[in-house]
Amino acid sequence: MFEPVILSLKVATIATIIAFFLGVFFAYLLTKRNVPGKNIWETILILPMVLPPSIVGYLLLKVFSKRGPIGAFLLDTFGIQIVFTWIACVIAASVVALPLMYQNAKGAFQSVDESYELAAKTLGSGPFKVFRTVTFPLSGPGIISGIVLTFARALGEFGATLMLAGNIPGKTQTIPTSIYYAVVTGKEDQAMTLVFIMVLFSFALVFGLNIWLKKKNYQGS
Amino acid sequence: MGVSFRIYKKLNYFDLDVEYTIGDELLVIEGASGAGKTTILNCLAGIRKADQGHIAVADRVVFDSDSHINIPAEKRNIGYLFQNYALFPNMTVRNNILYGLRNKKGFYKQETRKELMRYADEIMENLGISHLSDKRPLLISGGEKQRVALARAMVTKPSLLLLDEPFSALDENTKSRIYEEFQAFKETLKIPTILITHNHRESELFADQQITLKEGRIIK
Repeated sequence: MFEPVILSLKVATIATIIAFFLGVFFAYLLTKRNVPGKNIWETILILPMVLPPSIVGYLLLKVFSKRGPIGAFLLDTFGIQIVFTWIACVIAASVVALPLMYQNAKGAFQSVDESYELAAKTLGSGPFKVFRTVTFPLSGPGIISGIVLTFARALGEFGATLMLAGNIPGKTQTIPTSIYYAVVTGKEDQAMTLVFIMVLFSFALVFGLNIWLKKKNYQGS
Repeated sequence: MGVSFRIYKKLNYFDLDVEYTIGDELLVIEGASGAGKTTILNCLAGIRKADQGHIAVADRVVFDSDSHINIPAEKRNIGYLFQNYALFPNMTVRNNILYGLRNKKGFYKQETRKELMRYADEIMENLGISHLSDKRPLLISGGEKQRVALARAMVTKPSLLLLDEPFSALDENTKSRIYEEFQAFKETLKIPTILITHNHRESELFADQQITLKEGRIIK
């Protein structure tokens, strides 16, 4: 019964790391650099948040299946199959959680007082160094919120995961899919236990984040 | 040496159109809020781009619209004191001051580094802020912030110093003392300096040259 818990934690952790780097990268690109087609990119990044996860899962399945563009490439060149493996869980969770990381990072970067960045520039820092030494460190609270929410979202991912990774016990069964499976097959006790774990964990995450943010605000830094 | 500039820029309500040349002296630009004073400084520093014009700092052309020269701000070597001082809150006073030095050529060579550090210490000593070294900018007074910001701008040996209303963030009680301090500091400056203000007293106190700006034009 703890297999789904362990898999979920592993998947959510890796997905958060991926979403963190991608989210920060795109937020930097789209807020601090001049990129053509900004609005289009931004819309694509936000789309997984507004589309039903089943649609995201379906599209991912099209791309990563044996005959999909990326799936065929991976299978032919490396002999790797993505669909119905735990890697599929990671991909689904990363894609669905990415908008949260992106949004939080973007908001955090935009809320940094521009005069700090301009001062850094006049002191000889190029755009990336300004970001690395000033914008990013001053975005701390927003970035941390992003990480926590991304992790929570990745942990709770259900629809896209079911489409892309299936629900194979011991292999791709995460907490949410396991709860669904337990309910369908009438294993109420198992479902209750997992629900309890999930609610407790999510509560602790968000509660901890709020406390930390309040403390941070109080210190004024 | 010195600075010469001709800046033309379309703004929302009027066109900014100014031309001036100074040597190693202090120019005060006076004018009401919204007269275009800060825009001049921003164009000089390279934070904003003039539509047309020519800017030369210490005989080096940093902007020329005709020949499409526009050196980015980080390569202009111009010291800029922002109105709110813009001290990095995530760094100590010392790291704020050393920030610009870390971008200098040779900072990571021991010899050059020693020399640069000694210069930084000297500036901090002169401005009387050595004791603040390990403090965070949020925890020091307005006058101290101003001196730290001055040290940070001066430590990279800029060829032009821009001061955007450097006294407006200070309370009236400390102003006269800070005016005195600045007077002494001004004597040590050997570079062209432009100070903008809407306070006529400041131009009387510090100006070697003075111009007044109204809706983007020099009126006297």
